[in-house]
Amino acid sequence: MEPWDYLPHLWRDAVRSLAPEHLATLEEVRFRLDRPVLCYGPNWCVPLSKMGSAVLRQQDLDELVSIIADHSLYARVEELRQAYLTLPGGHRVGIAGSAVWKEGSLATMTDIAGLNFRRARDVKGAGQTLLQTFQELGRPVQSLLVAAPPRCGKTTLLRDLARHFSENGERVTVVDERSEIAGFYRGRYGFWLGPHTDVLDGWPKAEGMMAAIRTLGPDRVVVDELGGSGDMGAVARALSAGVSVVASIHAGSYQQLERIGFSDRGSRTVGDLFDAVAIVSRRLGPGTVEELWHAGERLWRVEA
Amino acid sequence: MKLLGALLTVMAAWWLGRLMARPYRLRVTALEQGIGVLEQLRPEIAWHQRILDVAFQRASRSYSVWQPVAEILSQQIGQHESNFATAFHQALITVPGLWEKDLAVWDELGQVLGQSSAEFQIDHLQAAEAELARNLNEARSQGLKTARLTEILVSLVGVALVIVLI
Repeated sequence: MEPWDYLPHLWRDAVRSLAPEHLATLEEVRFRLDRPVLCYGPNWCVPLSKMGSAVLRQQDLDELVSIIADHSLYARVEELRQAYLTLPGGHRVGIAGSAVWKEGSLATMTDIAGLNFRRARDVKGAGQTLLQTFQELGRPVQSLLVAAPPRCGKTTLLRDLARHFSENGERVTVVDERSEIAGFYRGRYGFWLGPHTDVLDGWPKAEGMMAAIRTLGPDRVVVDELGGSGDMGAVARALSAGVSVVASIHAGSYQQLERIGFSDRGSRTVGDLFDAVAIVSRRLGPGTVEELWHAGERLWRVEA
Repeated sequence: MKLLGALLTVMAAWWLGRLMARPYRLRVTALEQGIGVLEQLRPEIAWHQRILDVAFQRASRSYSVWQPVAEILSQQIGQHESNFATAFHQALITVPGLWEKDLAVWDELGQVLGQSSAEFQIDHLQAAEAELARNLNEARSQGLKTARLTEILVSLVGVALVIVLI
């Protein structure tokens, strides 16, 4: 099912009545307070025409949040705290609103001002092609970092890499802090990740990686969107424990990666941790591999 | 024949009395079971963090009067259309024996159920439970007294009718 299938029928029907070429490539439906609903594709944006110029009220947004959370916000507090809600099938709804702080930490969100229904993709074979390219260049991959700006297909690529390694007999543990890779929802996986994959769903990345190494004995750990120095430290510890890591990070180029230091003295960069780095963009569509790096050396670059 | 007629008249009056007293007894059952459902809901929400329709189904398993409420609620929520308070109200009106003042407590709970973190949900459930317990005490002390009185009075009317006829 698509993420918009979980909308109330008025909105659902409006989305389904988009032109076929738009519906086929629809990536996001965005609901924003006091503005019309907009649909986004790779290189287009159209308003939901069936809704006319109707703008969204606060009540509409609150009701939408309640419906997609199955009217059980208490069970989704952790997701709300991270500004998203997961839907069945691995889809997710990003939420914009005001943060509520309690005792110095983010407790939840209120005054919802925007919702982004985003379609999760499952592209089989993308990861395999990437690994084959490294192989053909004579540099087999142990630890791989996928670097890209948002909405460039990092998670889709990681998902396929996890599946590929698992289907080739490796024991893979996916640390899925935001339920994006496995699409775990109410005890079920939204995506097939291979026969040898375990998922630590909802675990913070650093703690999840350490728990995986201690208890699950993985050959490879897959983790999405590395952020703070704690995450990088956990990657370093996993690598020193002999576990390969496949991860993604927000960065537009290798040079940007080089600027992300993580050790106490800032003497090591993220690029030092991983032997292989793929720079991805959405220039020719999501998942466009721009450059491949290995041990600090650029191996390949896409033709301009 | 006279004896049989008299017996039937008294029995009919007793049955009529029971029928007239039924709402009072139903209210006690609905409130007792409703409080039981609320008690079961607490761990379902606070500990298991199950979503409301599943939590309600599990909590009402041992309470026959409330089982249909859980089913209706599940259907309504499953359609992704109505808001919870409306769906909850529509489910509540199928419970036999609830009075207006009991429905008001449940409706108030329906306005906040599922809309906050687990600790606040527990507070709401406890507040509703305390309110319903007060209603139950009243139903037991005054309602059941009224029910018994109605039964006795109507039965006595039957006896009086038999005496007059004889």
